[in-house]
Amino acid sequence: MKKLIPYFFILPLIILILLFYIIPAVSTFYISVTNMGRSLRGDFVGLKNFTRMFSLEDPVIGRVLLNTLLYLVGALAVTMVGGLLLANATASLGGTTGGFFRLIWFLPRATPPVVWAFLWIWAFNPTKFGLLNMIFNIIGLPGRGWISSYPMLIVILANGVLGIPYTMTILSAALGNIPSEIIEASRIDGASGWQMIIKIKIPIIWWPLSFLTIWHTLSFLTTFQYILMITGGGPFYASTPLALYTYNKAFQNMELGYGSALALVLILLSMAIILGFRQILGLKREA
Amino acid sequence: MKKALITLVIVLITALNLFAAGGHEEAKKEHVSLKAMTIGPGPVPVTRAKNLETAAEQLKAEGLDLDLEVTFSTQKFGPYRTSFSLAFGSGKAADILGEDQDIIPEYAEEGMILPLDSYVKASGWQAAYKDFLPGLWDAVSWKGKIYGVPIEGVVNCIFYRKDVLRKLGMSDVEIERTFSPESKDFTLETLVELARKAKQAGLVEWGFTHRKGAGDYWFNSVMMFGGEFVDKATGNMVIDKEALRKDFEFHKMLVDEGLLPGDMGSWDWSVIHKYTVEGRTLFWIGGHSGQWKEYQDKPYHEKLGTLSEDYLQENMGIAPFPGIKGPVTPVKVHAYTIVSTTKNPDISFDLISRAASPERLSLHSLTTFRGPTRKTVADQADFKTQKYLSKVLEIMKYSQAFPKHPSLGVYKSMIFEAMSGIETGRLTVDKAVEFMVAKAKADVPGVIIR
Repeated sequence: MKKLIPYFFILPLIILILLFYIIPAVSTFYISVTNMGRSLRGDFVGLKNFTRMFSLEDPVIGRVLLNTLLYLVGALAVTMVGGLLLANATASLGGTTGGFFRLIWFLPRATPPVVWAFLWIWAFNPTKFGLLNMIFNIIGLPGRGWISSYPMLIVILANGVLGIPYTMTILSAALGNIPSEIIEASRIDGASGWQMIIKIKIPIIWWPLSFLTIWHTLSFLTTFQYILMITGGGPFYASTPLALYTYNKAFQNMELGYGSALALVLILLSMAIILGFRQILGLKREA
Repeated sequence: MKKALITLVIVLITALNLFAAGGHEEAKKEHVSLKAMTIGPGPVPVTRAKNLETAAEQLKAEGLDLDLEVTFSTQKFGPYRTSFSLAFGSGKAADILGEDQDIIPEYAEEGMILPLDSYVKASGWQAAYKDFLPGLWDAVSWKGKIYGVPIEGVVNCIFYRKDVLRKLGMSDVEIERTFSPESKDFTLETLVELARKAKQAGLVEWGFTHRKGAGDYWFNSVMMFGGEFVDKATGNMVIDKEALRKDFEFHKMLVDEGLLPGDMGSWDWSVIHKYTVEGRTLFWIGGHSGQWKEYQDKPYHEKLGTLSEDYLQENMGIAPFPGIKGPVTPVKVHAYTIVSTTKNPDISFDLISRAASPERLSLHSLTTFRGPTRKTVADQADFKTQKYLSKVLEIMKYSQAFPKHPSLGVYKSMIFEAMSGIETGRLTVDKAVEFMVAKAKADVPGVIIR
């Protein structure tokens, strides 16, 4: 009986995972082999939805996959590098000053998504009423259609910057736990600031760094609300990653069968990336 | 024998009548709960919901124990349709659904709404059936069956700035003549030339602005170039390469000449309307007649806020699209439909037929500036004396049927993406046409390429 107690405690979690992950995943697979539409009824079509995707019969899919890669790498770089540099800077400042700047940098995370998206839309509005174009106007430069010219860069920045506060907070705590003797010893040995980050601090905080990399990767792969609000995925699919394309197919065009096939590929892609990262980052050994 | 047969028939008919009357009495005694879903989008056409409520009050006054719950959504059509689909899939859909005609084929194919032929063509409703304007029943039909009762025609049109044209030296008479659909001068070339002059004179920032995102404008613009969407013989979707090419070339030319912003896809809606009402653009070509009312209700104008009827009459005008084969006014019908899962189709129809009475539809059109659907409404003195609505009626003479196909939403998304590619310089016209063909082949079963 005593042996069963731990299982009793994890049972609610298992039920939740079953209800909100396993059953939806199985349902998604079922829908992906049908031609389900608006009425939520569909006939079995075998692997037709998958062949439509993998045979590149859908002329957009190649572009969407490339966008997914670009967006993932870009947003991950902004979040991780930005978060690490800010964590290091605020940790170096220490005490109240460091805490104050961490608080300032946490504001984007505390901003409601619609407000955050609106700020970016306003900043990059292509007319003379956009913030950036107003500034350009003041300094005598012509305004630009920022969102249509640099859609991918803008969605990478909007999402990447939003990931920085979380990275910064976790890494600040990790950096704060590095024994001061190690830092002192490296200073005495003549290590530069850059060398200290690369050779001392990063190896020590490797585990939280790896965890954050995987966490943000999954987040960037599956979330699209800011992209939808800021660029709508355009122009001409220029900022449409797989998650947004899946949403558009499933819920805008109500092609639920094809949308589910895309969602399933997204799930498999996420799992493959997690497993890949586990190997590359050495998490398996650490765990 | 003959007498006995006649007596038998009379007895049978009497019995059926008694049964029917008894049934009606029964229905009156039973408690009936109905739900209706209606949409703006936006707050202006709230009479789509209110007319149902007042019709329900009328039924209750006549002794029916009716309980009606009407929801009016101010959301966009995407989420509205998603919530209806989810409710339908879970067996909790409303009984009555307000919808635009473009979705009717899809809902009909999926068996989500009921054919209404037996109701609208019933002997008791013949007069009302014939009172609807020509072509409207066809607009709400799919594969020969009627699926909705038309309550308004959303008249897609061009808005032009009279004040800018006056500054270009045109008199009011000239303006009126130029934008008269019957005028020989009313051509696409005239519009482009006026836009060039206004821009060169520094009177406007842009000659033209169109809508952002996927929407009806993309059909209107293909229609201007005589494009087809559906094959009459097979009912399959058509990709009309020639019309699309002309449409793409036209928009590319406007962007290349600086007459149309290349990045309209990233404009905010409030900014698009601000440019129209403040006269920053000469032609707003992505609009519909109801926006005249919207400009009186929403403060898009930075200095003036909401605009008066007098201001609008003085400074703005509407016109059909000048197509290559003559004026084009795509009219999209909004209708009440009955959901196939309803347990009360008879009472649901009774309700929507009362909500679509001439009095209620008149109120709806007069308060929303949407086009009327019934002759008795269009013939009312209120319509003829209201300057703007009489203009709407005038351009409705050039109305063209809106396309009908279950994949219309897919087409709309495709053409918007292709056009955004052209206008931002990411696609050539050739590549855009190629994209339309390839994407339609992938997404639309049985598509015909011409």
